Amino acid sequence: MILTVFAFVVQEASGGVLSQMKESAKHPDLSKFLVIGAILFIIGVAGVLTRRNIIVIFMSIELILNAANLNFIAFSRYLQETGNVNALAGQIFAVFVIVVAAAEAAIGLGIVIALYRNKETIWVDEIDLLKW
Amino acid sequence: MYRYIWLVPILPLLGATINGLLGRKFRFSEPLIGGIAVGSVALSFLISLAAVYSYGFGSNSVWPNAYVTSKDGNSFNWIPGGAVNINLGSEARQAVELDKERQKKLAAMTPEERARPQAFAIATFDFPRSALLNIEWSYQLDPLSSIFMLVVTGVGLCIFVFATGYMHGDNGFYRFFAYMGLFMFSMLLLVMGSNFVMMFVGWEGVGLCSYLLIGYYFDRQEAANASRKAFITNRIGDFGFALAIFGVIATFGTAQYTDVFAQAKDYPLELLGHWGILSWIALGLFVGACGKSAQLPLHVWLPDAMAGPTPVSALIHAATMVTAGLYMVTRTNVIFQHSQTMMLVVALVGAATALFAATIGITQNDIKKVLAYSTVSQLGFMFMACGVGAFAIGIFHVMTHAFFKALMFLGAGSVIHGMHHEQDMRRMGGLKKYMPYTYMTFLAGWLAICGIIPFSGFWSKDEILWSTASTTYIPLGWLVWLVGTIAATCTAFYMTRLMAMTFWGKEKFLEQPAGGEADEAHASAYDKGLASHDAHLESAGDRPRHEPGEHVGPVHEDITTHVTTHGRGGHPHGAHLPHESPPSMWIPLVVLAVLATIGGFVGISPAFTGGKHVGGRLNIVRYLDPIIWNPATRYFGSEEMFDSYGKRLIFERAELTLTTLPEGETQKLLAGPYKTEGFNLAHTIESKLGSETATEWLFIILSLLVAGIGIGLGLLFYVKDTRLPDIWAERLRPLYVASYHKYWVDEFYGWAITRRTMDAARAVYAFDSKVVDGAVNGVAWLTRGFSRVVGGIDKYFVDGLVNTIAAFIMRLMSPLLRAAQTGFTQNYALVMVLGLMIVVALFFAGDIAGDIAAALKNIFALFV
Amino acid sequence: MNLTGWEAVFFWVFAICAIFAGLLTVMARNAVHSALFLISSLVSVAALFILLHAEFIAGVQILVYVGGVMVLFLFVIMLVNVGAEERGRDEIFNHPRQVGASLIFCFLLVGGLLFAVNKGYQGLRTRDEAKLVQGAEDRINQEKSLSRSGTGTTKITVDTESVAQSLYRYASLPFEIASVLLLVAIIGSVMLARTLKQEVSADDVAPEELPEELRRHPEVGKVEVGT
Repeated sequence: MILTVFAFVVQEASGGVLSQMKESAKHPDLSKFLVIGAILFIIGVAGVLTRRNIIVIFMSIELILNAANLNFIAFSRYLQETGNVNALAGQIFAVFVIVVAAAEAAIGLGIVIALYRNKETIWVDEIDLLKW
Repeated sequence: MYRYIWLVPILPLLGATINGLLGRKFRFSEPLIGGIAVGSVALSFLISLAAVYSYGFGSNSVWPNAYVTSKDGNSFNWIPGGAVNINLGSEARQAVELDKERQKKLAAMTPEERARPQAFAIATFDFPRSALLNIEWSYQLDPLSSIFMLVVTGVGLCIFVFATGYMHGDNGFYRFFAYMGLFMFSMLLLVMGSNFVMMFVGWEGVGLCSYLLIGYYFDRQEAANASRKAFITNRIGDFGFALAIFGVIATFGTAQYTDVFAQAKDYPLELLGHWGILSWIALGLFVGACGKSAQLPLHVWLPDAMAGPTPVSALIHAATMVTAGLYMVTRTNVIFQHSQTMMLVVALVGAATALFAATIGITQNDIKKVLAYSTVSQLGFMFMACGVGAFAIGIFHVMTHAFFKALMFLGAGSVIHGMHHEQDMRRMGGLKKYMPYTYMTFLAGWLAICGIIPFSGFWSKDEILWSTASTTYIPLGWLVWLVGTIAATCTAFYMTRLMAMTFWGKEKFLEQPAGGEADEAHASAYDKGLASHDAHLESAGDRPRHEPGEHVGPVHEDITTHVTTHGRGGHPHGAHLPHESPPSMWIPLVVLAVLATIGGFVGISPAFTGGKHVGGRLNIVRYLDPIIWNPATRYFGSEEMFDSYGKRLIFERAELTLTTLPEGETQKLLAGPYKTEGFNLAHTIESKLGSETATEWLFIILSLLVAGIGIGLGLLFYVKDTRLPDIWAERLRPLYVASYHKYWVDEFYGWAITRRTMDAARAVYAFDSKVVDGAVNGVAWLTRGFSRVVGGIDKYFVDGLVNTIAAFIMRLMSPLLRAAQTGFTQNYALVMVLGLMIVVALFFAGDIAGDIAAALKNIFALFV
Repeated sequence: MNLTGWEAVFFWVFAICAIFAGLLTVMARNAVHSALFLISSLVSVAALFILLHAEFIAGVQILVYVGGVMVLFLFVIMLVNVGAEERGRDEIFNHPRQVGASLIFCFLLVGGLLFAVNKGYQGLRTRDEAKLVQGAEDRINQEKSLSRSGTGTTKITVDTESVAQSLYRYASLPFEIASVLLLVAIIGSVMLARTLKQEVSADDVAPEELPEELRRHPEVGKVEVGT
């Protein structure tokens, strides 16, 4: 960590990576979108892995799907810019992702309800029937 | 008529089959069974009579040639064979070929050329020969078989008639006559067959019937033992016979008599000391003859065979079966005469048997046993005759012996029947008043066997003794004569003893308690609590079941009350007094007695008829001439053969020999092909007396004398002074004991052969059960042990290994692996994320590492 | 596809908002809060979509995702989660071991993803330098040619139209399949969420389990007829 900070400082001294960053910030392009998508994705993954409440886990999954959507759309725009004939495939795919997410959410929540009826709990760590 | 001889064996077989298969099923009555049996044999007899007449004496007679039924198509190809290799006796055959060549060359020369010394080629190349062997089923009618046919059917007819009376009341009547008919069939097959194989079939058949008939009373242990003994002893002989037949086929390539003897006659003689193929064949044949005709050492079955019914003893063991050996030896006389060694063996064995059996017969007490040993002894006589070359005389003695021995056996049967199945002579005596017919006929038989002129036995026995003394066939003829004479003396002695003990003297059955079946019935009735007259035994036996002197049942103090008060009931005891037999039994006796008296004249000694055999074909020696081979002329028939018109028959070879060879050679040939030097009794006496006829008369008188001595001694011992037998038995105690115990031959055989065979069997069994089975069991044990070991290895080592490893892994991994199964979904999701990380790392690891390295380098560069 | 001027500002605003909302989604104690934060995250992302000239998708996102799925989530939260708070302070995070491992993984992953994205983008840009410039110019020209809206203040873009053109021409089969998928989802969710009573009345219980169930829940056996 200290090394990274030190490296950063050094780089700053040697040409101003910060100013580079400021410049690029003024003109966000594809990479920024992808980064946002990646961060959202990771947040969603963390939520899936970390939370105990099953509904919240589902919502984290929606976050993940959303991040993927963002990725698709960003690339679709980029490809439009670069003149690819299949550029709109990204948006179309995003539509289908949304459809699938909706279906999956419906089914999953139905399962949650059935599970709740049987186990009377929403905490996933109490549902360990597959434990040895 | 002789073309119908094929009927002769079939008729008894037919009768036997009907009796055997239907007799019990349809419950034939005794007259019916007897009628079928006797009728079939009578028909056979008549047909054979007619056949023999037309063969030998009729207008179309073909005598001296043999008639084989295959000439008229009354035969069939029985065993179609293939090629056989004739690979025995090739040296002899080579000599024959050489000789033929020589004769052909001689015949082609002029007399002057013949006189010169000749030199001929030495060796011809003898390649292995082969012949097509076909064994046909056809009958042969020639002088020998015709005599036997008549004897078998004629004497058989008498015995069958006797048996209908003797076996009356027996439950197995039909069975008896079925077996007897089967026997007749087999015997006729034996004597009428035209080849060795048919003879062997008949041979075996008579052995089988002997077994069946001796063991007729199958519920008696002694009968079963005796029949088994007879069959097995016979079998030993049959083995030799079979080997001889194989030898015949392998040497001559055929089994037909005509073909075999036609080849064999040309073979060179095998003199004493030279042993060739014909000697081997003769040996095998003689072993068979010993077995069948009860010669030493295979004689043991004949006395025991008396356990069968008396008609069986008469037919089989006196007249017919035991003479089969004689028939065979005479039939193959070509082969025997070729082997001087075998002739000597035959003569010596015959002589030894004659004396051996005669000495045993002196001390036996059972009437049938005496007659049995007498039979063995007389068979020895017959073989003596054959051994010295007098084959025709041997057959003559067969014929006369059949007459008087069958007569005596039937007489004994009559006696036994009259004495209510008492067989011990010590309990008989004085029967001539009670059984006159039996007595008169038995008298004729007695005189015949003792050899009293003019009964039949005299002629044959005398001729035998003369032949033994004057033989040029073998050396030691004098020894054979001496032994034969002594045996004749013994014969006369014990036959007189038999007559005296049975028919003359006091009635011993009145003094001693009765034994035998009468007492057996009493004994069993006493046990069952029945009245003695209600006692009836199912199987009538011929032998007493109790020892002499053993009384069973209540003793009667007064024998006369016993005698007079009994006599009612089903089995007419007749107050235990002997009674004469019914006519069905004494009529055959009369017939046989007539034959025994006058039957010997067909072989009347040439001494009585001027030195030659007269009567043409009616003289048995003349009649049998065509089948006897003459070693001098190497052809069948003696030189002085005449046909029925008195014309001298000279055969081609004889003519050749007599007329073409130089003088000296012919004389040498005729003098004696056997070149026997040494003491010849007859020639010695002849040289002293000067004429052959005188010598013959001397011998006749000698034999009459010895017969007289024997009879005289017998009368002395058993009629005049009855204490003498016991005195002399004491004085000659060792001899007496040896003779009484039959020289312990049976015991010796039992020890040496039977028990050793059983020991061997036990040894083999032990070997099989311990070694072989032990090996098998041992292998099984090894396998089991091995499987246990392997199982142990598998269970403890392999499974242990597996279990240890599994347990180890389980102990190691189980908590670890178990820990992975948390059931907690987010753990699994974590693993998925881990996988994702690995993928990303895989893709970008290189670049990331490169970047970090570059950054670090920058940092270093900055510092450095 | 540089965004300039106000677009950049809005980009940053909505981006930060989305990330923040997402973070709060996973960290909120109350599930309803969680759902609401998710809604805001989704709406932010929809705005980002609009910035990317994907108006249709933004609309679909709002309508379907937020309006359908999140409402469904809220319904289910009401059904399921009601008693959670009354039961006291339950843990919302898992065991620290799990949380710690996940965080480590996530940090590593994010580092790797960022690195990958940057690296990839650099390569992409070096490749498509000229095209990007060309594309930007084309876009500008295209925007000039757009027709004005009714009010005259904005231009009517052709993005939705081109999406439709693509969707119904080249992706018509997936479109139909997607509809079938939705049908299956409807049926499945209905079936999954039935109560035992409903299943018995619909005669959908296995015969070997019915007696057991009736024994355990006797009230199930009482089927009301009529009303």
